[in-house]
Amino acid sequence: MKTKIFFLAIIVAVFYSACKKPTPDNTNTVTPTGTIGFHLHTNIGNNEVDSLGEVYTTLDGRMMTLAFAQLFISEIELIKSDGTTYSVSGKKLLKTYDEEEYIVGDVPVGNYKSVRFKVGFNAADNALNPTATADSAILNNDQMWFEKTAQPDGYVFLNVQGTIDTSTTKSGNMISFSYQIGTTANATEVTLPNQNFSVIEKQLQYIHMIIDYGKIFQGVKLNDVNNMTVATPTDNTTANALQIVSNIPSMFRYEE
Amino acid sequence: MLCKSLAIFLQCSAMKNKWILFFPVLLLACTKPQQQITCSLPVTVSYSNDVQTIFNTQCATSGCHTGSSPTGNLNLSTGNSYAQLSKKGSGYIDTITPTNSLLYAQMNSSSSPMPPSGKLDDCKIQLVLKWLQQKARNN
Repeated sequence: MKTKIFFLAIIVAVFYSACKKPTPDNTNTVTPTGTIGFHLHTNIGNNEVDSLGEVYTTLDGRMMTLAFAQLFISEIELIKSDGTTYSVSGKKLLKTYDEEEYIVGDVPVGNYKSVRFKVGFNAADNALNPTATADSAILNNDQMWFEKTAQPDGYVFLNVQGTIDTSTTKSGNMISFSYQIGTTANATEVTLPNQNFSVIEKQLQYIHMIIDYGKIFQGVKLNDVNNMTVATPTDNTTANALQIVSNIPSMFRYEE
Repeated sequence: MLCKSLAIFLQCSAMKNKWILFFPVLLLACTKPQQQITCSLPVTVSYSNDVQTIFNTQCATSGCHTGSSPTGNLNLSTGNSYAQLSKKGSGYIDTITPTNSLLYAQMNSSSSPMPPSGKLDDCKIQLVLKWLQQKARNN
Protein backbone atom coordinates (compact mmCIF):
# COMPACT_ATOMS: atom_id res chain seq x y z
CA MET A 1 0.00 0.00 0.00
CA LYS A 2 2.80 2.38 1.02
CA THR A 3 4.61 1.65 -2.22
CA LYS A 4 1.50 2.39 -4.19
CA ILE A 5 0.97 5.69 -2.45
CA PHE A 6 4.61 6.62 -2.94
CA PHE A 7 4.41 5.74 -6.62
CA LEU A 8 1.21 7.72 -6.94
CA ALA A 9 2.77 10.76 -5.30
CA ILE A 10 5.68 10.65 -7.74
CA ILE A 11 3.34 10.46 -10.72
CA VAL A 12 1.20 13.32 -9.44
CA ALA A 13 4.32 15.42 -8.92
CA VAL A 14 5.43 14.78 -12.49
CA PHE A 15 1.92 15.39 -13.73
CA TYR A 16 1.70 18.68 -11.83
CA SER A 17 5.00 19.94 -13.14
CA ALA A 18 3.92 19.10 -16.69
CA CYS A 19 0.76 21.14 -16.23
CA LYS A 20 2.43 24.15 -14.70
CA LYS A 21 2.82 27.13 -16.95
CA PRO A 22 6.44 27.99 -17.57
CA THR A 23 7.60 30.72 -15.26
CA PRO A 24 8.44 33.85 -17.22
CA ASP A 25 12.10 34.68 -17.30
CA ASN A 26 12.21 37.99 -15.51
CA THR A 27 15.44 38.92 -17.17
CA ASN A 28 13.87 38.67 -20.61
CA THR A 29 10.32 39.92 -20.14
CA VAL A 30 8.71 41.38 -23.26
CA THR A 31 5.98 43.93 -22.74
CA PRO A 32 3.04 43.11 -24.99
CA THR A 33 2.26 45.85 -27.44
CA GLY A 34 -0.43 46.99 -29.82
CA THR A 35 -0.24 49.58 -32.56
CA ILE A 36 -1.53 53.12 -32.52
CA GLY A 37 -2.56 55.00 -35.63
CA PHE A 38 -3.84 58.51 -36.19
CA HIS A 39 -6.70 59.06 -38.57
CA LEU A 40 -6.58 62.75 -39.35
CA HIS A 41 -9.23 64.60 -41.29
CA THR A 42 -8.57 67.96 -42.91
CA ASN A 43 -11.53 70.20 -42.25
CA ILE A 44 -12.78 73.73 -42.60
CA GLY A 45 -15.38 74.00 -39.88
CA ASN A 46 -17.61 70.97 -40.02
CA ASN A 47 -16.75 70.22 -43.62
CA GLU A 48 -14.06 67.83 -44.67
CA VAL A 49 -11.87 69.31 -47.37
CA ASP A 50 -12.34 66.94 -50.29
CA SER A 51 -10.62 69.12 -52.88
CA LEU A 52 -8.34 72.11 -52.91
CA GLY A 53 -9.88 75.35 -54.11
CA GLU A 54 -13.38 74.37 -53.07
CA VAL A 55 -15.20 76.92 -50.94
CA TYR A 56 -16.17 75.81 -47.43
CA THR A 57 -17.53 77.73 -44.49
CA THR A 58 -15.73 78.12 -41.18
CA LEU A 59 -17.51 77.58 -37.89
CA ASP A 60 -18.06 81.34 -37.62
CA GLY A 61 -19.66 81.52 -41.05
CA ARG A 62 -16.77 82.81 -43.12
CA MET A 63 -16.01 81.40 -46.57
CA MET A 64 -12.59 79.88 -47.01
CA THR A 65 -10.63 77.72 -49.43
CA LEU A 66 -7.43 75.75 -49.10
CA ALA A 67 -4.75 75.65 -51.77
CA PHE A 68 -2.17 73.86 -49.63
CA ALA A 69 -2.24 72.46 -46.11
CA GLN A 70 0.49 70.48 -44.40
CA LEU A 71 1.81 70.25 -40.90
CA PHE A 72 4.37 68.29 -38.93
CA ILE A 73 3.55 66.41 -35.75
CA SER A 74 6.30 65.22 -33.39
CA GLU A 75 6.94 64.19 -29.79
CA ILE A 76 3.81 62.06 -29.61
CA GLU A 77 2.86 60.92 -26.13
CA LEU A 78 0.02 58.75 -24.96
CA ILE A 79 -1.43 59.55 -21.56
CA LYS A 80 -2.34 56.45 -19.59
CA SER A 81 -5.41 56.19 -17.41
CA ASP A 82 -3.24 56.59 -14.31
CA GLY A 83 -1.80 59.86 -15.65
CA THR A 84 1.62 58.56 -16.58
CA THR A 85 2.75 58.95 -20.17
CA TYR A 86 4.28 56.80 -22.87
CA SER A 87 6.43 58.61 -25.42
CA VAL A 88 6.63 57.36 -28.98
CA SER A 89 10.29 58.01 -29.45
CA GLY A 90 11.45 59.92 -32.50
CA LYS A 91 8.25 59.61 -34.51
CA LYS A 92 7.43 62.47 -36.86
CA LEU A 93 4.37 62.71 -39.07
CA LEU A 94 3.83 64.97 -42.04
CA LYS A 95 0.10 65.45 -42.32
CA THR A 96 -0.90 66.32 -45.86
CA TYR A 97 -4.37 67.55 -46.68
CA ASP A 98 -5.53 64.34 -48.37
CA GLU A 99 -3.64 61.65 -46.47
CA GLU A 100 -5.60 60.55 -43.42
CA GLU A 101 -3.98 57.36 -42.16
CA TYR A 102 -0.78 57.52 -40.12
CA ILE A 103 0.75 54.64 -38.20
CA VAL A 104 2.33 56.07 -35.08
CA GLY A 105 3.95 52.89 -33.75
CA ASP A 106 3.80 50.12 -31.23
CA VAL A 107 2.92 51.03 -27.68
CA PRO A 108 2.37 48.98 -24.52
CA VAL A 109 -1.06 47.44 -24.15
CA GLY A 110 -3.27 49.10 -21.59
CA ASN A 111 -5.82 51.77 -20.96
CA TYR A 112 -5.17 55.31 -22.05
CA LYS A 113 -7.14 58.49 -21.76
CA SER A 114 -5.57 61.03 -24.06
CA VAL A 115 -2.87 61.92 -26.52
CA ARG A 116 -0.39 64.76 -26.58
CA PHE A 117 1.96 65.89 -29.31
CA LYS A 118 3.79 68.84 -30.68
CA VAL A 119 3.00 70.66 -33.91
CA GLY A 120 6.53 71.62 -34.85
CA PHE A 121 9.94 70.52 -33.72
CA ASN A 122 12.27 70.95 -30.78
CA ALA A 123 15.68 72.55 -31.29
CA ALA A 124 17.46 69.26 -31.89
CA ASP A 125 15.05 68.18 -34.60
CA ASN A 126 15.08 71.61 -36.18
CA ALA A 127 18.85 71.32 -36.50
CA LEU A 128 18.72 68.00 -38.33
CA ASN A 129 20.08 67.66 -41.81
CA PRO A 130 17.03 66.46 -43.75
CA THR A 131 18.85 63.70 -45.55
CA ALA A 132 21.35 62.64 -42.93
CA THR A 133 19.42 59.86 -41.25
CA ALA A 134 16.29 57.85 -41.76
CA ASP A 135 14.86 59.69 -38.80
CA SER A 136 15.17 63.02 -40.60
CA ALA A 137 14.20 61.89 -44.09
CA ILE A 138 10.68 63.11 -43.54
CA LEU A 139 12.16 66.63 -43.36
CA ASN A 140 13.44 66.29 -46.90
CA ASN A 141 10.51 68.18 -48.32
CA ASP A 142 11.18 71.60 -49.79
CA GLN A 143 7.56 72.60 -49.32
CA MET A 144 8.38 72.72 -45.63
CA TRP A 145 11.55 74.80 -45.84
CA PHE A 146 11.85 78.55 -45.47
CA GLU A 147 14.53 78.64 -48.14
CA LYS A 148 15.09 76.86 -51.43
CA THR A 149 17.63 74.66 -49.76
CA ALA A 150 17.30 72.92 -46.43
CA GLN A 151 18.45 75.06 -43.57
CA PRO A 152 19.54 73.64 -40.25
CA ASP A 153 17.76 76.41 -38.44
CA GLY A 154 14.16 75.45 -38.30
CA TYR A 155 11.71 73.97 -40.68
CA VAL A 156 8.30 75.19 -41.64
CA PHE A 157 6.01 73.02 -39.55
CA LEU A 158 2.70 74.47 -40.67
CA ASN A 159 2.26 75.51 -44.27
CA VAL A 160 -1.26 76.58 -45.13
CA GLN A 161 -2.36 78.61 -48.10
CA GLY A 162 -5.70 79.53 -49.62
CA THR A 163 -8.27 82.28 -49.58
CA ILE A 164 -10.47 83.71 -46.85
CA ASP A 165 -13.39 86.10 -46.88
CA THR A 166 -12.00 89.21 -45.23
CA SER A 167 -15.13 91.33 -45.34
CA THR A 168 -16.75 92.34 -42.08
CA THR A 169 -20.15 91.43 -43.49
CA LYS A 170 -18.94 88.00 -44.66
CA SER A 171 -20.04 88.89 -48.15
CA GLY A 172 -17.38 86.89 -49.94
CA ASN A 173 -14.41 89.21 -50.39
CA MET A 174 -11.95 86.36 -50.88
CA ILE A 175 -8.31 87.34 -50.33
CA SER A 176 -5.30 85.04 -50.60
CA PHE A 177 -3.36 84.10 -47.50
CA SER A 178 -0.11 82.18 -47.10
CA TYR A 179 1.25 81.13 -43.74
CA GLN A 180 4.56 79.32 -43.30
CA ILE A 181 4.84 78.83 -39.57
CA GLY A 182 8.06 77.53 -38.09
CA THR A 183 10.97 78.00 -35.69
CA THR A 184 11.64 76.14 -32.47
CA ALA A 185 10.07 78.89 -30.40
CA ASN A 186 6.76 78.51 -32.19
CA ALA A 187 6.47 74.74 -31.82
CA THR A 188 3.20 74.21 -30.03
CA GLU A 189 2.03 71.45 -27.75
CA VAL A 190 -1.44 70.02 -28.33
CA THR A 191 -3.22 67.94 -25.69
CA LEU A 192 -6.52 66.41 -26.62
CA PRO A 193 -9.26 66.15 -23.99
CA ASN A 194 -9.72 62.91 -22.11
CA GLN A 195 -11.38 60.17 -24.13
CA ASN A 196 -10.62 56.66 -22.97
CA PHE A 197 -9.26 54.08 -25.33
CA SER A 198 -7.51 50.76 -24.97
CA VAL A 199 -4.54 49.29 -26.73
CA ILE A 200 -4.95 45.56 -27.23
CA GLU A 201 -2.06 43.23 -27.97
CA LYS A 202 -1.34 42.89 -31.70
CA GLN A 203 -4.30 45.10 -32.60
CA LEU A 204 -4.27 48.41 -34.42
CA GLN A 205 -6.17 51.15 -32.63
CA TYR A 206 -6.85 54.39 -34.45
CA ILE A 207 -7.33 57.75 -32.78
CA HIS A 208 -9.62 59.84 -34.95
CA MET A 209 -9.03 63.56 -35.07
CA ILE A 210 -10.14 66.53 -37.11
CA ILE A 211 -7.78 69.34 -38.03
CA ASP A 212 -9.86 72.44 -38.61
CA TYR A 213 -7.86 74.95 -40.63
CA GLY A 214 -10.64 77.52 -40.22
CA LYS A 215 -9.46 77.93 -36.63
CA ILE A 216 -6.15 79.54 -37.54
CA PHE A 217 -7.90 82.86 -38.16
CA GLN A 218 -9.22 83.28 -34.63
CA GLY A 219 -8.14 86.72 -33.46
CA VAL A 220 -6.46 87.57 -36.76
CA LYS A 221 -7.38 91.00 -38.11
CA LEU A 222 -8.49 90.03 -41.58
CA ASN A 223 -8.94 93.61 -42.76
CA ASP A 224 -5.18 94.17 -42.61
CA VAL A 225 -3.54 92.76 -45.73
CA ASN A 226 -0.23 92.54 -43.87
CA ASN A 227 -1.75 89.80 -41.78
CA MET A 228 -2.27 87.58 -44.80
CA THR A 229 1.35 86.47 -45.13
CA VAL A 230 3.89 84.82 -42.86
CA ALA A 231 6.85 83.67 -44.95
CA THR A 232 10.15 83.95 -43.11
CA PRO A 233 11.60 83.15 -39.70
CA THR A 234 11.52 86.89 -39.03
CA ASP A 235 7.83 87.05 -39.94
CA ASN A 236 7.32 84.28 -37.42
CA THR A 237 8.11 86.67 -34.59
CA THR A 238 5.34 89.14 -35.37
CA ALA A 239 2.22 89.50 -33.27
CA ASN A 240 0.14 88.19 -36.14
CA ALA A 241 2.26 85.04 -36.44
CA LEU A 242 2.12 84.48 -32.70
CA GLN A 243 -1.64 84.81 -32.84
CA ILE A 244 -1.79 82.11 -35.50
CA VAL A 245 0.53 79.91 -33.45
CA SER A 246 -1.68 80.32 -30.40
CA ASN A 247 -4.60 79.03 -32.47
CA ILE A 248 -2.92 75.73 -33.30
CA PRO A 249 -4.22 73.71 -30.31
CA SER A 250 -7.80 74.65 -31.10
CA MET A 251 -7.41 73.29 -34.62
CA PHE A 252 -7.46 69.74 -33.24
CA ARG A 253 -10.50 67.92 -31.96
CA TYR A 254 -11.68 64.35 -31.81
CA GLU A 255 -13.89 63.15 -34.58
CA GLU A 256 -17.29 62.49 -33.06
CA MET B 1 -0.12 15.19 -24.41
CA LEU B 2 1.98 14.19 -21.41
CA CYS B 3 -0.96 14.83 -19.16
CA LYS B 4 -3.23 12.63 -21.28
CA SER B 5 -0.75 9.72 -21.40
CA LEU B 6 -0.25 9.79 -17.66
CA ALA B 7 -3.96 9.76 -17.04
CA ILE B 8 -4.50 6.76 -19.30
CA PHE B 9 -1.58 4.91 -17.72
CA LEU B 10 -2.86 5.50 -14.25
CA GLN B 11 -6.40 4.55 -15.12
CA CYS B 12 -5.15 1.20 -16.39
CA SER B 13 -2.75 0.39 -13.60
CA ALA B 14 -4.87 1.52 -10.70
CA MET B 15 -8.30 0.66 -11.84
CA LYS B 16 -9.37 -0.59 -8.46
CA ASN B 17 -7.92 2.27 -6.53
CA LYS B 18 -10.25 4.99 -5.34
CA TRP B 19 -7.50 7.54 -6.00
CA ILE B 20 -8.37 7.18 -9.64
CA LEU B 21 -11.22 9.62 -9.07
CA PHE B 22 -8.69 12.42 -8.97
CA PHE B 23 -7.25 11.86 -12.39
CA PRO B 24 -10.11 13.06 -14.56
CA VAL B 25 -10.03 16.23 -12.47
CA LEU B 26 -6.31 16.58 -13.07
CA LEU B 27 -6.80 15.91 -16.73
CA LEU B 28 -9.36 18.70 -16.93
CA ALA B 29 -6.90 21.03 -15.25
CA CYS B 30 -4.46 20.34 -18.05
CA THR B 31 -6.89 20.96 -20.86
CA LYS B 32 -7.01 24.45 -22.33
CA PRO B 33 -10.46 25.70 -23.34
CA GLN B 34 -10.82 25.67 -27.10
CA GLN B 35 -12.70 28.63 -28.57
CA GLN B 36 -12.23 27.98 -32.23
CA ILE B 37 -14.91 29.71 -34.27
CA THR B 38 -15.47 28.27 -37.68
CA CYS B 39 -16.91 30.70 -40.19
CA SER B 40 -18.32 29.58 -43.47
CA LEU B 41 -16.83 32.17 -45.79
CA PRO B 42 -17.31 32.21 -49.55
CA VAL B 43 -14.31 31.34 -51.69
CA THR B 44 -14.54 34.77 -53.29
CA VAL B 45 -16.10 37.49 -51.22
CA SER B 46 -18.49 39.67 -53.16
CA TYR B 47 -18.50 43.34 -52.29
CA SER B 48 -22.07 43.90 -53.38
CA ASN B 49 -23.53 40.70 -51.97
CA ASP B 50 -21.47 40.19 -48.86
CA VAL B 51 -19.77 43.35 -47.66
CA GLN B 52 -22.44 45.84 -48.68
CA THR B 53 -25.04 43.68 -46.98
CA ILE B 54 -23.21 44.15 -43.70
CA PHE B 55 -23.01 47.89 -44.28
CA ASN B 56 -26.71 48.10 -45.09
CA THR B 57 -27.78 46.50 -41.85
CA GLN B 58 -25.05 47.67 -39.50
CA CYS B 59 -23.57 50.93 -40.76
CA ALA B 60 -25.67 52.80 -43.31
CA THR B 61 -28.50 53.27 -40.90
CA SER B 62 -30.35 56.43 -40.03
CA GLY B 63 -28.13 58.97 -38.31
CA CYS B 64 -24.95 57.07 -39.05
CA HIS B 65 -23.04 56.39 -42.27
CA THR B 66 -25.69 57.49 -44.69
CA GLY B 67 -27.35 60.64 -45.95
CA SER B 68 -25.98 64.03 -46.88
CA SER B 69 -23.95 64.48 -43.70
CA PRO B 70 -22.82 60.98 -42.78
CA THR B 71 -20.84 60.33 -39.63
CA GLY B 72 -17.13 60.76 -40.25
CA ASN B 73 -17.92 62.02 -43.75
CA LEU B 74 -18.23 58.36 -44.70
CA ASN B 75 -21.34 57.26 -46.54
CA LEU B 76 -21.62 53.47 -46.61
CA SER B 77 -24.96 53.20 -48.37
CA THR B 78 -25.33 51.24 -51.59
CA GLY B 79 -23.91 53.12 -54.54
CA ASN B 80 -21.75 55.39 -52.38
CA SER B 81 -19.71 53.15 -50.15
CA TYR B 82 -17.07 51.81 -52.50
CA ALA B 83 -16.05 55.21 -53.80
CA GLN B 84 -15.90 56.55 -50.27
CA LEU B 85 -13.82 53.66 -48.97
CA SER B 86 -11.49 53.88 -51.95
CA LYS B 87 -10.85 57.60 -51.57
CA LYS B 88 -7.14 58.23 -51.93
CA GLY B 89 -5.35 58.65 -48.63
CA SER B 90 -8.35 57.77 -46.52
CA GLY B 91 -6.79 54.58 -45.20
CA TYR B 92 -10.07 52.69 -45.08
CA ILE B 93 -8.63 50.06 -47.39
CA ASP B 94 -5.06 48.79 -47.19
CA THR B 95 -4.61 45.82 -49.51
CA ILE B 96 -0.91 45.51 -48.73
CA THR B 97 -1.51 45.07 -45.01
CA PRO B 98 -5.23 44.31 -44.82
CA THR B 99 -5.31 44.30 -41.02
CA ASN B 100 -4.13 47.92 -41.10
CA SER B 101 -7.19 48.93 -43.08
CA LEU B 102 -9.17 51.43 -41.07
CA LEU B 103 -12.35 49.59 -42.06
CA TYR B 104 -11.11 46.39 -40.43
CA ALA B 105 -9.33 48.04 -37.51
CA GLN B 106 -12.45 49.92 -36.56
CA MET B 107 -14.66 46.84 -36.73
CA ASN B 108 -12.10 44.89 -34.75
CA SER B 109 -11.42 47.60 -32.18
CA SER B 110 -11.98 46.45 -28.63
CA SER B 111 -12.33 49.88 -27.09
CA SER B 112 -14.31 51.73 -29.77
CA PRO B 113 -15.72 49.23 -32.22
CA MET B 114 -17.87 50.06 -35.18
CA PRO B 115 -20.80 49.88 -35.03
CA PRO B 116 -20.90 51.65 -31.67
CA SER B 117 -23.83 49.48 -30.58
CA GLY B 118 -21.45 46.55 -30.26
CA LYS B 119 -18.81 44.63 -32.09
CA LEU B 120 -19.98 42.64 -35.09
CA ASP B 121 -19.82 38.89 -34.78
CA ASP B 122 -16.44 37.42 -35.66
CA CYS B 123 -17.62 35.84 -38.90
CA LYS B 124 -18.77 39.16 -40.33
CA ILE B 125 -15.44 40.72 -39.42
CA GLN B 126 -13.59 37.78 -40.97
CA LEU B 127 -15.68 38.20 -44.10
CA VAL B 128 -14.62 41.83 -44.43
CA LEU B 129 -11.00 40.91 -43.76
CA LYS B 130 -11.11 38.24 -46.45
CA TRP B 131 -12.51 40.79 -48.90
CA LEU B 132 -9.62 43.11 -48.05
CA GLN B 133 -7.17 40.24 -48.46
CA GLN B 134 -8.69 39.57 -51.88
CA LYS B 135 -7.65 43.08 -52.95
CA ALA B 136 -10.92 44.77 -52.02
CA ARG B 137 -12.45 44.62 -55.44
CA ASN B 138 -15.76 46.22 -56.37
CA ASN B 139 -17.22 42.88 -57.38
